[in-house]
Amino acid sequence: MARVGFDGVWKEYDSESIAVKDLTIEVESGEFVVLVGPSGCGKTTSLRMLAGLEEITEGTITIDGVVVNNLPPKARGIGMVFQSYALYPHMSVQKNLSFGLRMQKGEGRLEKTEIDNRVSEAADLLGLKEYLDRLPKNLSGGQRQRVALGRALVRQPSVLLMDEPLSNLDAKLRNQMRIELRRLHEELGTTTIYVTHDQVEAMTLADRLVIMNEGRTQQFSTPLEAYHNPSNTFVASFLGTPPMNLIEGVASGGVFTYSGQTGGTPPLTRELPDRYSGYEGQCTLGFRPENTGLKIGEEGGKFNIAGFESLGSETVVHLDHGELRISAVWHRPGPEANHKITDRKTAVKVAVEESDIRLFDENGIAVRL
Amino acid sequence: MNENLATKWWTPVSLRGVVSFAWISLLITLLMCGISWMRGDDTGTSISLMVLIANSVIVWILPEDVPARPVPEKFGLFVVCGASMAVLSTNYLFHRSGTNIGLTLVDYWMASPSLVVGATAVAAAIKSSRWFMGKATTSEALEGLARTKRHTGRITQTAKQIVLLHLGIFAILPPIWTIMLSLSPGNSLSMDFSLSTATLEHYRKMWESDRFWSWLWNSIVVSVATTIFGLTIAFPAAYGFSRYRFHGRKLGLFMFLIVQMFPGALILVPYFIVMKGFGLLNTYVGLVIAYSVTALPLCVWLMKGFFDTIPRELEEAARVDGCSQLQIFTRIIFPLSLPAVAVTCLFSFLAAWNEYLLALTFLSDTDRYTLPVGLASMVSSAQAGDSYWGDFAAASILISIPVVLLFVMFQRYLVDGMVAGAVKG
Amino acid sequence: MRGKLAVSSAMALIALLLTSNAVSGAPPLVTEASIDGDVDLNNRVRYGFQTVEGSERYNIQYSDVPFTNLSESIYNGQSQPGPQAWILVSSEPEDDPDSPETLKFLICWWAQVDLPDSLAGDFQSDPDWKEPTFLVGMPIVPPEAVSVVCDLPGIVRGQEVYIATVSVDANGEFTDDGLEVLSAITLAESAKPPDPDMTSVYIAIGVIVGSLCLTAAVLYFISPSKRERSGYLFILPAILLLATLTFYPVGYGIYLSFTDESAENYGQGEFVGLDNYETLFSDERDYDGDGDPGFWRTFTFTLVWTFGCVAMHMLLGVMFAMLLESGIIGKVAWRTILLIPWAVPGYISVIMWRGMLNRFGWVNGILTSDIDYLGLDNWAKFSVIFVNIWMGFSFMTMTTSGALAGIPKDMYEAANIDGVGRYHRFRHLTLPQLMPALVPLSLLGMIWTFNLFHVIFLMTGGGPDRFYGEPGVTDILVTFVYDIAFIDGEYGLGAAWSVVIFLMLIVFSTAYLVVTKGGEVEG
Repeated sequence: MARVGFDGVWKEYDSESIAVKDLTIEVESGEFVVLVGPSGCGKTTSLRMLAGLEEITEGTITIDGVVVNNLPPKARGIGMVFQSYALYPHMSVQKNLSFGLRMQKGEGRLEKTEIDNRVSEAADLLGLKEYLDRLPKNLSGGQRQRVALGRALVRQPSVLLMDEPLSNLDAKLRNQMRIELRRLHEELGTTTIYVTHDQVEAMTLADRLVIMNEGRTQQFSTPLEAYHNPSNTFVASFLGTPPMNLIEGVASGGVFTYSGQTGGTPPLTRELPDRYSGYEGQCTLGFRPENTGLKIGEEGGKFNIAGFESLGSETVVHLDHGELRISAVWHRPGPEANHKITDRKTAVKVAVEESDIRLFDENGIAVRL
Repeated sequence: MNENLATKWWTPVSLRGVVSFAWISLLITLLMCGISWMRGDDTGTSISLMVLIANSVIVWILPEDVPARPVPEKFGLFVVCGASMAVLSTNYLFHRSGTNIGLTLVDYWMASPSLVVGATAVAAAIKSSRWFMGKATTSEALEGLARTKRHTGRITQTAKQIVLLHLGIFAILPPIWTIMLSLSPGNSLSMDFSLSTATLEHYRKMWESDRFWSWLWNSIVVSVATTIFGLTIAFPAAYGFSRYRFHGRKLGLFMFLIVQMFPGALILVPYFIVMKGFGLLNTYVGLVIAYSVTALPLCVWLMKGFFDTIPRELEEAARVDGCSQLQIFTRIIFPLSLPAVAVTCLFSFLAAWNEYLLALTFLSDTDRYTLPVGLASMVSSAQAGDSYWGDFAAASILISIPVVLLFVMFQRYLVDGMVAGAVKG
Repeated sequence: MRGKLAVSSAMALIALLLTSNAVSGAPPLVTEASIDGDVDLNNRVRYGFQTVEGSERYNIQYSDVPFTNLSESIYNGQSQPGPQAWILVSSEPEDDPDSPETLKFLICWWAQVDLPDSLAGDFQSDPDWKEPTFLVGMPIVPPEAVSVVCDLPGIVRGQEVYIATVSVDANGEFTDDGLEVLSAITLAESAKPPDPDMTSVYIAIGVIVGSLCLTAAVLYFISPSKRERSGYLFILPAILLLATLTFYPVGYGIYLSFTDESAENYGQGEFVGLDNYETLFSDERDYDGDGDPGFWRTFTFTLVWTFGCVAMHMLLGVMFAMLLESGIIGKVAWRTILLIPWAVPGYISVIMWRGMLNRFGWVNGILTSDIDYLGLDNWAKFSVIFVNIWMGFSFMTMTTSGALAGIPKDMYEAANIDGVGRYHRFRHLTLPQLMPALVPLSLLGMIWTFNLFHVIFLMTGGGPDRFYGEPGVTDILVTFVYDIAFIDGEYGLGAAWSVVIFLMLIVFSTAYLVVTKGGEVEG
């Protein structure tokens, strides 16, 4: 298996549009790294640069320490699964899987038996045995997806690249495939770089996450680290459904005060935990909805209920305070759920544990004192 | 993965470039062989055959898409073949300059590619000798790979542009010749065109010629009438086939499909006899009817294809709004299908405008000739002597310009239409 | 073309009789020329002269320019002056039994009376006038003949011609001095035969229209769906037009192929069974004695022509389209330039090329070669195919580039990562993806090329001709049908050829229909 390194990689289409800005990450051998971000954040471009399908404007990409910037894609020892699968529509599954191998020339040439072995191995692994003679158009989405994966795997790549491989599947299938992919990775141990815009995939699959926005890396860490300790407000609002509640205000003397943008909103205050007490000035306070405790109908409640979204296992409550809106998640519908939700006047008191509070400075960067 | 990756995958870009251009010179050398043979120039033929062999070796030496293994033997082959290409093509030029015809532009065109490619091949091989010997270091290889990346695009682009240039010349040579012919004085084929003697006399003559105008008029009348008549019939038919599911619909459509495959010859003789019997030879009516019927199937299929793309819901909405069938037809369908109607019109117009065989068969009266028959008659009477090549050329240019412009403007539609006719049926 | 080039073929037959160029002092034997005596529909001129004593042979020369000396007599771009027809004189007129009827292309009559005032009469039924015997296609009159009337063939309709006759004695010398030239002009319409009876055609068309209308009406009223039945009204006009002007003529053509209908007995053709079909393959029309009346030779060349052209169109079309779609600079400009061969009207392209390929034309000029591209058998074949390739490749390029643009690009990226080489990428990815578009296009291309008339007709006229009555070297089936029907005026035989062509086309058409699944009529 191989290590992959991006070192100060830039991708410029023209001076106006820069797709990737100064990407620097080091992927360990056997690691499953997910590039995640909203569309247009440069994650796919980064992957394609690694594959050799796009030119690199600046910086170097290495595979096992070898600079591959100028190597043709086939020389890089990678396998790739495309978003559209890019199966050869006129070839059977068997042919699709073996095509790349059969076309090798020179040193890379394989014996026919070796090709057959690899194909049947991949078919076994992915449960494609019965479909080997079918054409892609006669396969379901999930099966096509497996074929695409199998085609990448038969090459026994040292790095496996996947570009939003699950985005064309329906939700149920996506869940299945996610588990499958994780299992495969554990079985094969191939270094995998995976691109997605879906945070669930990102959270569940990744050993480490690269969260990108507008071409820049926002955070490179394990998923849980990113979830609990987002490095900036973008990451905080990107991960989690509903996202982290972010309240802009001022910290002064260990107390955070929200006073609304336009005024007229009664101010909110919260004492900051000790670890943030040294911070003074403009800042953003963040806490996860699931860490938001609600006390309905209690004295001193400053929030009003704006609406409920009941998902069965949990209920999302939207709360208003002037122009500020936050959400909270209840995991068990308690007696509060029977409360008259349309009663907008019901005062709700919000309580957040100290340990759940995160503070971001005026640029949105997490405060780590 | 190892450090040798770079050396393994690196082939010097100069060599790859030489091979790309060697493909072009190979084709030109092939032509050189043919042309020398056509000239009856045995020496030239044998020289160009030798160039051809050397050139083929260069092309085959470094196969594409395989990591090339540097071998010293290949270095020798590259240098020897490159050098022989250069020397032999120089030799060819000397040989030609010694003949009584002397060197012409064509000789330079044929010999210089192999001369240049050969010389470059030698230079590139010598420059890449370390690679050939397998002595290139990793850093050299990395640098070389970067160079490859930088230059490959430009090299292939240049090669492609050169090929396209030849192709373009091949495509426009006859029109160019016709333009030159139409500007040359005299009416013979053996023109001697030069800018100083260029004249518009042929254009003037055609412009003032009554025959030309009457042919033009005939063509216009016939083509316009064909278009209108054909469309009047084809439009409702296409609509009917597209919108209604009646018994025999498939059979009807199939009939419209297979008539496109009837040989013209099979229809020509009976047509002639029937037209003659009805006294329709040498008339506009006869031609218009014949043309409309020939164009009918394609028109119906084209427009049916278009109607199929207009959602039925649109008509249903109109019906709900209280439109009658006729109103739906005139208010909804017709305005929407104007682009398709335009393309179909263009098709049947051009078909009638360019048709030769039926016109030749039906028309014997010179004044009734359409342009194709008329223009052909200007040069059919003789191949030498008193044919009117200059006049013909001038008339051809006058006729072709609007038609070519139409094609250029509507190329997308025309191609799509033809493909729709062919692929979808 | 056969008729026109009767000249050259006859020359080939009796090359030994060719007169020398040095004709001077031959006497005028020209007595009368008919200006309006054209009884044959096509390009014949009636011409009469009185015989002279001691003649072995009469040479007839015609020219499209006035001439006062035989060496100035040039007809239709013929390279050398020379006689176009001969009439032999012999006291023992042997009728060569092997000489086929169709070789007697010079129709003439002789009599022992003087020429009548008008040549427009019916010599065939006049008892005074007798038909000559024939030797290898040349009429033989006995020495006692006083006057001869002949219908000269091979004259372009409506063209003015100048005709002279010279008498040649046994030593090959001209028997008289001086030369007088008369002009004549063919007027094809001048002697119209009576209008044929078209009643049967009227009836047939009436029956077709009537029955179709009736069918439509019946279908309309029994149609289960009130809404769908309006469809009949929409398609009726088109169906009527198609039935009367395509299906009926096709049927009529098939019927004609069983009759002896011709220009001479126009409208009076009689049913002759399979005679025409036998004639196609019979030795009767095998003039060059190779055991083939030209059918198989023409058929072979038609196949070479069809497959050669279509294969090259496909090959070039795919190559150039890939080049166009491979990310070149100035794609729109190149595309427009490559469009030109398709855009220029076909007949103009053909004539342009004919001029360029002329022996004194531009191609020889540029290449400094000296090849008669249209006059040598193999070069002529090559030239017509080459020109058609030039005319057709751009259409294929345009359509293929459209099809190429529709191939998903990510497939190539996958192949690129898999390390599939350029050739295999084309062979295993591009080509299979193009096939659904290329196969029907190529089949349709074959149907078109098989039927393509004007390229060969205008380039070579089917020539070079080798033997009169047989197809020329570059004749394909459709151009030869034209010759038979409209130069020879043998409508029945032409129809028989057409039917055979039709049967062959069924092969292509069936393949096409199978490939396109009946044009996906459901669509």
